[in-house]
Amino acid sequence: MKDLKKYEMPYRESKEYVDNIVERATEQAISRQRTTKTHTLYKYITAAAVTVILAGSAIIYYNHTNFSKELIAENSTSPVDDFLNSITDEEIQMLPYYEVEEIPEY
Amino acid sequence: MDSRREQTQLYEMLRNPNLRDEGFRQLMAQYGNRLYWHIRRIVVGHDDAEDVLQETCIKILDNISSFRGDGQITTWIYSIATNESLRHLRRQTHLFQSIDSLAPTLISKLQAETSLDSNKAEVVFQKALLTLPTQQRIAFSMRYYDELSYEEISAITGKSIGTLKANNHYATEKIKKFIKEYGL
Repeated sequence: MKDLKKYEMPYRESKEYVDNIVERATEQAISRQRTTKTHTLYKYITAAAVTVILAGSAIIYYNHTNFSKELIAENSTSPVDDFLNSITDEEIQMLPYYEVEEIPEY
Repeated sequence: MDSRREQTQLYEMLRNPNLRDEGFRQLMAQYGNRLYWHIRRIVVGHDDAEDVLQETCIKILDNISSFRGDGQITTWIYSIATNESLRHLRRQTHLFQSIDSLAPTLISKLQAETSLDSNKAEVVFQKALLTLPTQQRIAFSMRYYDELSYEEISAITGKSIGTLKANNHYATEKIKKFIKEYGL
C-alpha cells in the first residue's frame, strides 16, 4: 500500500469530462425544478378555475330554480282566486258566512 | 472541508428563492466533482454514477428548504449522494438479497471500465475495496479518498465514531491482506 498514490482511481474519465457531467446534471436538475414549479402552478390555476366554474354553475342553477318556482307561482291561480276575482265587492258581501261548528269532545 | 463563512454564504444563497439556482450552481461547481467520485466508488459503473449524480442533484435541489444549516452543507450533500447510491445498488438486488452480494458484479464492472494502461496497483486496491461489506467500504472510502473526519463520516452515515474507527481498522487489515495475496 505504501506505493499507492492517494486519490487516484483506475478509470479513464478526465477531470474536464467529469466537470461536464456535473454541469449537465446541475442544469438538468434546475430545469426540472422549474418545470415542476410551472406544473404545480398550472395545477393550482386549473383547480381554481374548476372551483370558480363549479361555484358559478351552482349559483346559476340555484337562481334558475328559484326563478322557475316564482314564475310557476305567479302563473298559476287557484279556482277560489278565479271565483273571487270574477265577482264584485257587493256580491262578496252577500256571500253566506259559514261558521264551523266546534267538534264536541269525546 | 471549507471555511464556515463560505458555507454560510452558500447556505444563505440556497435559502433565497431568487439566488437558489446560482447558489446551487456554485455548490455543484465546488463539490460536484468530489460528489461524482464518491458516488462512482460506491456504484463503480460510470453510467450508474452519472444516473445517481443526476438523482442526487434533483434531491439536493428539492430538499434544500429542509436543510436547517445547523450542520455542514457538504455533510448533507454527501448523505444524499450516499443514500442515492445505496438505493441504486438496492435496485440491482433481488428480493431479500443483500447489497453486499453485488461484489462480484461490481468487480466485473470495475474490470470492464478500467483501461489496459490503468495502474495495476490501483485496480487491485479497488478490487480489495469491493470485497469489503458495503457500509464499511463507503466509510473507508470517505476517510481515505475524501479525507473526511470521523465526525463528518458519522454525520453522513449515522454510525458512531467508535464503530467507524473499528470498521476502518478492520477494513485496512482486510485490504492489506488482499493486496499481500496479490504480491504487491
